[in-house]
Amino acid sequence: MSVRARVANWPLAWKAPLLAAGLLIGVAFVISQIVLNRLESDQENNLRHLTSAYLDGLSTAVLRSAIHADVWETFDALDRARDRYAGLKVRFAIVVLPNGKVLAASDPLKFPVQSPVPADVEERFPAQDGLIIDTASGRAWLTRSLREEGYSVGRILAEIDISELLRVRRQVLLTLVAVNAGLALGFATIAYFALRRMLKPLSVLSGYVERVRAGRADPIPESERQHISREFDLLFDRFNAMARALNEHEELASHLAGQEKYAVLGKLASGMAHEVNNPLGGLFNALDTLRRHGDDAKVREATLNLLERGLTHIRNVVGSTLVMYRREVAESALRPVDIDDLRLLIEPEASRKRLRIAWVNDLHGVSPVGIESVRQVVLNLLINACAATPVGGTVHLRARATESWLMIEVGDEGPGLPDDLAKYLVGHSDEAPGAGRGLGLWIVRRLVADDDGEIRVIQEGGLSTLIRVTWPFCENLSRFESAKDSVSAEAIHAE
Amino acid sequence: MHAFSDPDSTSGFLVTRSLLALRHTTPAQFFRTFFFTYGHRNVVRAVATGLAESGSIDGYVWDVMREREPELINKTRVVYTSEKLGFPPIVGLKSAQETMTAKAISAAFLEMPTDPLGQQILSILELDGFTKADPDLYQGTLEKWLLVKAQA
Repeated sequence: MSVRARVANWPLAWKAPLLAAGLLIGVAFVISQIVLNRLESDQENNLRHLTSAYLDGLSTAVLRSAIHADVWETFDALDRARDRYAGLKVRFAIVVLPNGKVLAASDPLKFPVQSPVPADVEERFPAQDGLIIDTASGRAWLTRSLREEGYSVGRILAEIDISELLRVRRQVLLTLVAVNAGLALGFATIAYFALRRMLKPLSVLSGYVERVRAGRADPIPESERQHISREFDLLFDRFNAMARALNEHEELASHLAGQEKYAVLGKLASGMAHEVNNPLGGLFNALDTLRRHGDDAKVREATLNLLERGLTHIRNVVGSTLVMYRREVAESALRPVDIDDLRLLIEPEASRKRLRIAWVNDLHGVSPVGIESVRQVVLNLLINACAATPVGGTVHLRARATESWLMIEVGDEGPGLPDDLAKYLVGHSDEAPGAGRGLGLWIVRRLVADDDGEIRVIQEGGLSTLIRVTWPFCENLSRFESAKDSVSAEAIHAE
Repeated sequence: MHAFSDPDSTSGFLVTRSLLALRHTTPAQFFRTFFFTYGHRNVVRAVATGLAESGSIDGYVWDVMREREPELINKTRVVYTSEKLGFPPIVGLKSAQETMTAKAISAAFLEMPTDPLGQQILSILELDGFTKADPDLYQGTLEKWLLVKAQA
């Protein structure tokens, strides 16, 4: 994640005070620069004025003695000037004769009388009258010509210690930094708490929105709405209205799902009744035959076989229904026969519409997936396929599995799944189908999503609609292994 | 580099000058440079700061300064002391010797040790008092002056 993206993820309660502090620091920096520049400029001007006054006084004092090359008077003037200009820290002052030799210096040991000025000292001073300031070394160098009636009689060279000025400058800078840092910190702290207080309703709202994402649309209670601004009050009202609408929608959907389940159940019951009823007629005929021709061993044997087949058929139908709706096997692993059972459940409907069922079950062994949800999904898809396929058409089922997933496809030859239902089914749209449409699909989508499965609606092999559902195998295989044993013990599958 | 006190001073110039005259030389020949500071204290300042390497000064002034400005005096050391010579005298015109003014001035100097204000003045000058002296007291000074004059 880039720094920019990371910063963008910071909470507003952090970003806003940091921004305020940043702006404050920026303003403080600019103001500090202005103050320091002004201070530097003022100090330089003051230094120029002070050094100018010093040189004016000194040049007047030493001019006569320079003309007469009077060592003592020159030295005396330089020595007295040192005390007189105590505000100016003169490190040394030299009166240099036109021949470049020292007439007298305030520090005679360093610059003896009549010695030449050392080159490294001479080069620091301005060639003409003026001032050079070097902040790095904390020194300033002055030159002033001594002239009498237009003739040069010498020069005054003086080195000034300006470290005190620089110290004051540093002190001002430190004061500015300390004050500005304190102000920035103080204001940032105030801004942090103020914004945190102001944004508290936002975090409350965010928490309740997060609950909606988790499936609970709780309205924000009154206790959370104390001392909030009008904007947030309105926002909370709108959120509560939305939460109520969501709850109502959820309730309605659950209710309709229940209705749909009952409808499916009714359809199944009707089919089952039909399945049971069909052999019943034959069974009664068989009973009548037995009653009348029971003495005939051949007839009796044939009739008993008929009775057995009829009763086996009824047992299979009842057994499949039991498997379908027994909750205790909900988490058992899926076996090939669990899919084949479904064929028995839709056969009545298929027979009624004279539909052909193209059934390809390539499953071998157990598949670690939720049996109840898989069977419920496939049954719903098969019922929908039967409903969609015109009389005399074919309904397709194909089941197969790899090492990590189970895939079941159900196809029909109907007019095709409407776009909105198809989009809803595959999860590209959250807009639930309208009343009376696709409630079975709503259950399919929900069950598959719960098992982290995937639904695809595709056109393949000339079918109008082919729905392919893929379930990943559950990682907890041991659970399914034990469940598999218990299912075997049940022995209620159709054989 | 030598610092003299004053060309009219006995201890601050004449003594050194006469010593050089005895060696048949002059300050200009003997010293690389010399200058006059026009004050005995200034001679000490010049030597103490390093402006001059040597200087000629009155012993009385040097003694007083040793007490009052030891930090300055401690930067110097005595390399030669001359014989004792007469203290600079207070003189007047012979013709006016008997006037009231001359007598009053003479009495003021001579009676200083017994007068409170005079005592204060003597204390500042670190002197015991003033006394009438014989002109012979200045014979040594005269000889030095004559020696220098003869060389000139």
